[in-house]
Amino acid sequence: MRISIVVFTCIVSFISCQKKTGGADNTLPPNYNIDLRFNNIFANSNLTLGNTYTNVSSEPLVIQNFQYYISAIKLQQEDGNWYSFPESYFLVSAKIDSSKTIKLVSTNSKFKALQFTIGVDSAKNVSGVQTDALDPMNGMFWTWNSGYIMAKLEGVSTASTVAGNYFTYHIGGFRQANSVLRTVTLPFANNTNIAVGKKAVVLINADAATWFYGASNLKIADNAICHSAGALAMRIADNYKNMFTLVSVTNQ
Amino acid sequence: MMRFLTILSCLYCCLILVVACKKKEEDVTVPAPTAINFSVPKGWPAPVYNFSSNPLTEQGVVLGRHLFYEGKLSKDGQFPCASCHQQFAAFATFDHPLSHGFNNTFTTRNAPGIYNLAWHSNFHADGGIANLDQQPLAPLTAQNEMAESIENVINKLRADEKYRTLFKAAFGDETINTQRMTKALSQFMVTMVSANSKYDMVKNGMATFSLPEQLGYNLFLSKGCGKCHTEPLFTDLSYRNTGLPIDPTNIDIGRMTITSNKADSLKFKVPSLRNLTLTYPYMHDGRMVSIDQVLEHYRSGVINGPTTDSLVRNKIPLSNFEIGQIKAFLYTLTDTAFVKNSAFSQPM
Repeated sequence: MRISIVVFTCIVSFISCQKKTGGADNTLPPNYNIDLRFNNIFANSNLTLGNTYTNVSSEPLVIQNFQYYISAIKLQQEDGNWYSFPESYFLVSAKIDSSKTIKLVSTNSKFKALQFTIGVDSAKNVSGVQTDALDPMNGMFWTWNSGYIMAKLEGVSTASTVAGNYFTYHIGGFRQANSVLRTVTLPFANNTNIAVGKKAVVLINADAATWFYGASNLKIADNAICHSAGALAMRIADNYKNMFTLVSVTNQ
Repeated sequence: MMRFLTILSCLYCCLILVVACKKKEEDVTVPAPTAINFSVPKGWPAPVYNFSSNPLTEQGVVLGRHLFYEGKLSKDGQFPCASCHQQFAAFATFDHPLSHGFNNTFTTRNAPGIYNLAWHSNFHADGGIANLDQQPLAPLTAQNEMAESIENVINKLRADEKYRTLFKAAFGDETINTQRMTKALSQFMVTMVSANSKYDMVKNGMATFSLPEQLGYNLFLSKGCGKCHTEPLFTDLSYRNTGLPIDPTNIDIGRMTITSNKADSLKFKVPSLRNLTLTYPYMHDGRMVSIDQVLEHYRSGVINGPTTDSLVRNKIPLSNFEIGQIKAFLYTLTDTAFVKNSAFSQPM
């Protein structure tokens, strides 16, 4: 009797909670989990905020903040078609560990490449105030000249000639003439086959050192500040579009 | 012991069921917000504001009105939107060339009147804001205006029971975020339609111009004023350089700030002439205190630079009589009903 009461109590508790969690529908195709994990580095070292690094122009710098938007995520299927994740907008912030993993769910299991945009598409820049990763509260939005800061790198450097030796690169601009939106494609070495019940972990390095070279060298001594859309922002975007490299794709 | 356990178990079951159902009940008890139809004044073009992304409701407008007059949107509580946008000045700043911001600061531009915003697609004298919902974030965060962070404002509103109630009424639940705050402000601001001046009544056949007013209206059109100050908004919403001399103490390149394009240097958005007797001083930096001064500028003061507008490059020939008549017409653009409409005044 005593046991039956306890069991009944448990059942009631379970039933009343069940609706919230929702039952799995067997008629749906299985979902596959894909985690994109971003690992921030500076050249050959892991990037730690507050540590000193040296850029390609031999300027020492301490990075205090590093953030970038990842959006329009697509995975290329075996047949060459792209599987899109609509409304995918994520803000990766060096200060927030949880932001460095982007969790995706797909009904496909085999992929051969990853593609995404660094930044936020023009439509989202002009269609009102957004929520979550795109909430202007995140400090990645210019209020006087509407538009997102697509990527941000801030810190101090003895090479900087501005007050406080700061360098602040806020890279934005969504209008065609000065767009800093850049697309990154990372082919997988082998086709990735996600096993049911497991997830694929795509490990990506994001190298902040690339901001300072590539299309053109960026010297902190020459340009310690970029706070608006335009030629300098586009130059830096042309550098940082190379910051992502694929490390590995593993089934876990 | 057995009995005790049974009772305890039953009580627990009841509690679980009550708790599990409670959330649903709460949701049901929130009445749906009451939809409002936005009415377009007779003969006006369709508004450009995207109402489908932010449907107007009575409760949304009420919330927006409270927020518009809310000091908590500023750092020290003293600078609500309404501190620079005063109803008796058609929601411009009365008498001040530049507005006063947090910690004894000036803005660099004259506050524009707020009315008929549903017909504007870009905001500010340089057009830097691409959507009405995004506009409030600019003064809210500017150090020489409200000087607050978005995060602090949202936290202050979340801590205020009045706003939890108002947000719930407007949006169905108590969630308070940047998007909802700015949508509510937009809802209030787009309802601020000024289309009830003597000019409007004449257009609708409910009044007639006096002779000077009619002569002034004819001159307004024949002298080309209406090419930029186009009816019925009395602005064509374009950006133009009207040949003002550069003020070395307040250099402002206008539209070029936004576009980085030299062809846009010194261009500012054409302001509406509606309610202009209430919105003085004039020009983007409020440098002119009277309509006479403005008309004198177009008659004799225009400075020709590379981007000075072709419509004013040769100045506008005006006799003193003509200036008087044009002024008589411009006075008919004042909408007294708008500035006295209690629907836009500070909520009690």
